[in-house]
Amino acid sequence: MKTKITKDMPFDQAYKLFCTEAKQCADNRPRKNEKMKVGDFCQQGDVYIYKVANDHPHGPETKNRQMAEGSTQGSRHIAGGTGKIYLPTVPPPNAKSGALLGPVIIGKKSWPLTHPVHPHHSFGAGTFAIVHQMDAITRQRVAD
Amino acid sequence: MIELTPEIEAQIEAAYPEYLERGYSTQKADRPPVESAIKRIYKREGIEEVPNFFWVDSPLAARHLMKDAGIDNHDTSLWGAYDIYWLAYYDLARKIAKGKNEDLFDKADDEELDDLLAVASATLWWPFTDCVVCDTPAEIHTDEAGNLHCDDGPAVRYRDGYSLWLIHGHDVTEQIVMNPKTLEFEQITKETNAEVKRIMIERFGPASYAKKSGATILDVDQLELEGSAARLLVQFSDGSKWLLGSDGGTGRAYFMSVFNTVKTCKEAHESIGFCDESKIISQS
Repeated sequence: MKTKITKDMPFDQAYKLFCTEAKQCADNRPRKNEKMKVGDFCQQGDVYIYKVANDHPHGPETKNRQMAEGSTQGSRHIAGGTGKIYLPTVPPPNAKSGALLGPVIIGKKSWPLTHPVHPHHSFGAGTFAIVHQMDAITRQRVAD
Repeated sequence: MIELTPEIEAQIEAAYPEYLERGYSTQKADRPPVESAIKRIYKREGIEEVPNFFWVDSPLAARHLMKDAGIDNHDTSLWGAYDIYWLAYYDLARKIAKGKNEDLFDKADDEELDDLLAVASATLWWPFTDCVVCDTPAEIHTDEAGNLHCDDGPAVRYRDGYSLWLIHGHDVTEQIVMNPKTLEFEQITKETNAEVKRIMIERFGPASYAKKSGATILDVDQLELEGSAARLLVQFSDGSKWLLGSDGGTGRAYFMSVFNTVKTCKEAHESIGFCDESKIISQS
């Protein structure tokens, strides 16, 4: 659905229309990313998941399968499956300088990224690197 | 090894509400069995001295009690009823195995699990030389998904009045739940938690928030992904710039703070996501 919002609209009118259109466009089916190529990324809320080369550097393994630190509902981006999780050392090659790094996931088989609110994503085998969205005011990872 | 049959799967499904009810129980704790179980746990850990028990009505009361007793590490508690999510896993596996005439655990592990399940009729507990135990809340409210939630009162209310305020699992304040119209525009704008800000705007009134922002629209665009709606780059009357977007999955509206140097929605998103949008393949 193409938006009817235009730049010259009064903001209160545009905001009302935005809320209506966002609800109409929303698609809560799981996102299937099995065909993603190295360099591509997808987004679940404030978490960006890059497919990276299999020799992408990483730190030691961690048992924490939550991709964003915290105990709130919003931080529960959970990597399912049997893939191993590692601490990050370098950003994905396609991410811009200063990227806020999350873990690296190495999946030998397909795996899901689940979340209590945002639709789940599924991925094929491969190596993936997480980047977090930044809040421009605090210059920290978005808290949710 | 016990094979996971459709019958066992049905048994697991059927047991789920029972454990959920225990986790969300508001029935006052049966104190003698809880204390007996805790005494055995102390003994198992090699502590022969029997603790004195101090029962409190809320975590806040426990905090005050421990602070008065000079205990600093009061954030370290065991979870009692809130441990049921993992206790259920072992308890049910044990029951299923017993139904097949198999013992999953040895006697000592069985007894330890029994004791932890007994303590789960209370909530948090703090095992020091003496033991502080918190009774269950008087009220717990949830939404259909099981998230703590109440939009006209506390989601959790303890017997001494201490309350927790949550909207669909998100921690908020009493003001946001009970008196959202009294929120100040600046209070909402300065909130740094994205979900709490979204809830504040929804309860304050999106139209009122939009009006008070005095915003002008600098750019509008739309990605061509599943679920993608419009994005707006707006500037509030105080000069701050915001990217108004949704996640494509829930239809929720989020104001994301962006740098004042950006001129387009694409530039705004790329700067806070450190990304090149030409490489995005899905969003939710």
